[in-house]
Amino acid sequence: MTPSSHVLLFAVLQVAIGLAGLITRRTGEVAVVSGLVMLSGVLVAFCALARALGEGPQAGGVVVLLLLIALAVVGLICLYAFHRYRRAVVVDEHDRMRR
Amino acid sequence: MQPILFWSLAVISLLASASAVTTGRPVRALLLGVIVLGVDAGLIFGLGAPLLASEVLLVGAAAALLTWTLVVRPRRLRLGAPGRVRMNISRLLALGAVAYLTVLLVWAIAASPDVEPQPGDHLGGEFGSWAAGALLGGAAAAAWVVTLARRRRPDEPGEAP
Repeated sequence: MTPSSHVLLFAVLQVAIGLAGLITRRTGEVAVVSGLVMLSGVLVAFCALARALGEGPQAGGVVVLLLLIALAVVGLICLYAFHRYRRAVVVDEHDRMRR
Repeated sequence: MQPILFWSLAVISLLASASAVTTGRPVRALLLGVIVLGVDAGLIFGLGAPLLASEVLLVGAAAALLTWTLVVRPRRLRLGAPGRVRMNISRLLALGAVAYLTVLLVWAIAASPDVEPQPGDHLGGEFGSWAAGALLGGAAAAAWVVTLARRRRPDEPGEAP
């Protein structure tokens, strides 16, 4: 059986990779993917902690999963809307809520 | 979940995550993100949360569908991208990773302890392992056949050799 410390180490590494991508990259698609990677790592950490504490992982994990779904849906819709007007999506250029 | 299985999936997930945030191609980053979600769903399944894992898989499948429909397919049609399949090193690595994951999945299902059969259950772990292998092999064969069929139709828009 995998120790919980290994799972938490993996989750921390994945959150760190996602955070680095979210901070350093300016492309919209990569920013959305970085957020997904971060939330996925948090989800794995939730499962590991719930297993270590002897509780069911479903309740806390569903909240993070809803965040993940919201980020995926809203991010992809925003990217699609931006793609219709510009070829490349650089998040620094979109600082207004109108065309 | 055994540590060797966990770290096999974890290394794949970490490599895909690092590739997703460092690649310069947006579409490739999105597809790598979908791979990360799929591998993490396997990890969550191994940690004892099968319902959560299936939900993450659904999110990954929906993201892949949206990405293909809204981004990849229109871009290929607009650019008239060729449909040729080139066997480069990344494609070979991807095929190897898929084969490795398939073997791991079948082995994990076969090695899992059999639960007590409930009234109305007629399927055992051995049947489940064979069914998973057959499904994955069938999906790979279908994808290969579709690829070959598309390659032999050069008059299709966007599929010119």
